[in-house]
Amino acid sequence: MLGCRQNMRVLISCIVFLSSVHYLSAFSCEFNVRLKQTLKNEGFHRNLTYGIILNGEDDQCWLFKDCILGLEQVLPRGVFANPDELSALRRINKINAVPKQQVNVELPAEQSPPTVTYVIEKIQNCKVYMWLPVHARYHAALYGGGMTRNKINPPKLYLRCPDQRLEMCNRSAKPVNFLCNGSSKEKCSWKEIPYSVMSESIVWKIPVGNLDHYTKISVGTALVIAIGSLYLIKAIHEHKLITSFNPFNNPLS
Amino acid sequence: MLEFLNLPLSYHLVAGAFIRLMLIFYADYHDDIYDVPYTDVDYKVFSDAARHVVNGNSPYNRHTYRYSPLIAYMLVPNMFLGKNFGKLLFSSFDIFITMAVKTLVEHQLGPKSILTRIPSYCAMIWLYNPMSIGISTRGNADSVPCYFIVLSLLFLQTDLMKGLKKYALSGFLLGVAIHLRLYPLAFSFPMYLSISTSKVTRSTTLRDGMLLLWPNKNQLALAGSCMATLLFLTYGMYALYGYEFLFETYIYHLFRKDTRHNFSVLFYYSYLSMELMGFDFVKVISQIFEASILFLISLKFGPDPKNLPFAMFCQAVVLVAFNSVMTSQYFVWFLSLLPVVVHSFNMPKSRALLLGIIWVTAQGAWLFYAYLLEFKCREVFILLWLKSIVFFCANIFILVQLVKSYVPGYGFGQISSIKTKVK
Repeated sequence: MLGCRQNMRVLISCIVFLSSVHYLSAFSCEFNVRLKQTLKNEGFHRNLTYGIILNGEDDQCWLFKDCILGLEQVLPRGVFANPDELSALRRINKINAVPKQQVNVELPAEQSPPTVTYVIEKIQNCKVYMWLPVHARYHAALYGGGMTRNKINPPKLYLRCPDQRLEMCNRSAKPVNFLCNGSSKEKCSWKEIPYSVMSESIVWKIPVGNLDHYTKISVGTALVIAIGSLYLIKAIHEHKLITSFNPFNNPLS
Repeated sequence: MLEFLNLPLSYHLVAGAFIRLMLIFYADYHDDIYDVPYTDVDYKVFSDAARHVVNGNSPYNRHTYRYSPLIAYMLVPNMFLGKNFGKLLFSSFDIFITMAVKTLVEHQLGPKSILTRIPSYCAMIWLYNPMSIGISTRGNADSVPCYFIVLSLLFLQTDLMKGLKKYALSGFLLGVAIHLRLYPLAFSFPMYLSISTSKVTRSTTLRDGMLLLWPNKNQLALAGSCMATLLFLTYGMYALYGYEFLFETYIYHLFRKDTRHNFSVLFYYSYLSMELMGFDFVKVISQIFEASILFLISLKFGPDPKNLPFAMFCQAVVLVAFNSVMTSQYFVWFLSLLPVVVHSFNMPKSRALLLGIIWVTAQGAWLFYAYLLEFKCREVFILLWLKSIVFFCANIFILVQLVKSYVPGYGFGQISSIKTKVK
């Protein structure tokens, strides 16, 4: 009886596997993935958010069961994700994000290269919501001042599934190796998936100093320091010390 | 209110500790809910550095860790006892400072002060200072060097320890403070002068003045133990962490040019000149004036031990006001010395209140424009610069008013009335 059941299971598994292979080959994995990328909040400290829907229709959700989505976000030189902040967020399981390379959080935009950050998240019910805290760098001052633009391009999306289903479905795409998750240095094989962007490209405007002010600011700052210092020196020099207090000899009276 | 203030200091210490404890608990809640966290970013830096130490690595593996490794060692229990250990430790230093201030003021005003509540009031100025409460409970370590400075002054000026030992202990504590933060180095000169047997006056010639610098036994003990402690700690840390320790802890701060907005009068100038090469005349002018004022304060108020706390207080204000980088945490440099001199200002309460309002308003105005820049991305650099000028002027104006009203031993005017009553 037991053997018969096992045989039945094997048979059903084979049918499911073969039909999925047939399905995958038939559709050659035309992923219908849509991504909406937004920049939340205001100011120098903001959140990049990603709403991702995979294959929209519920009956195809099993394709992504137990799969993990990896997102590779290139940040322009004027924007960075703080590696220490990301590791703190990883420790409390808020997000699983890790920078590709070392990031100097203090450099101005002009002295910093663009950086890459990976965000990794499990797919649940064909949907993934991801976010990444990002910060703006100071930019070099410009003649005329105003605002400088930082354009954040859409990310690359990668998929990793626990079995061979991706191997069958997307033969042409070469696997890419990068971190399995943010917590270890182990690397995994990922496959890039195409998607359509459902949002407009993001432009983050940052105020910059006005170089036209340079002379005024230099002279003004030096003058204020000099006048303030001389005022203080005069007060210290003129101060008459009374070594023991006598209420009838008050220097202010 | 007066009844509450007149409670024994031990009650206030419990109340001060309770306020800090509540704020440390509140911080956990606040940080989870709000975008702008209560906890200072430096606390995360210290905690991460401590984690590196626990893992057998250098604390400098944490990017932007620019303190002595001692701070990271102090926070190692954060990894085992809980993330708030460091905040509790920094807050307990606040309590120790309060106790040291009370003892020091009692000594300054002599036995008469026991008949008044002046030492307790002075101690409470630190204990209930919103700035000191905020800075420690947000996880900033500046109360630690402040404690060593106040303690160094306490041992130097009192007879809690006698003979050469007290000078050696005072020097040791100052050495630790300088190792933790460079700025107390400025205090070493007036401290050295205050225990000189010969006094510098207006009629002293330069040659005689130089000769007067020749150390006596007490000065040798103070300077020797200070330098030995500083060298021992610094060499020890250098042996462990190499040039990275020297650079991050000291060299970086000496040549720091932070172009991001901060309270400093030099901020916008530094930002605009970021990409420009050549002679930095504004910075040089600022440093020449700063060094001259520090030297003048040492000569004017340093030689008399009674005026030493005031000399150190003035120097701390000047160091903060002229610094090329200034954030709120720097204010504790002088706020920790304010309680030991506050009783010496002969000014009406209304004027003291007005000075306080000027300081807070100037700071608030700057913070408003900094908020518009940082959290609303508004282009307000020129307005922010004007506010930093106003804040610099406020600091200088207030310091001048304090210098003008400074009368050592004034004791809020209560000491003289006691003297009269005794007579």
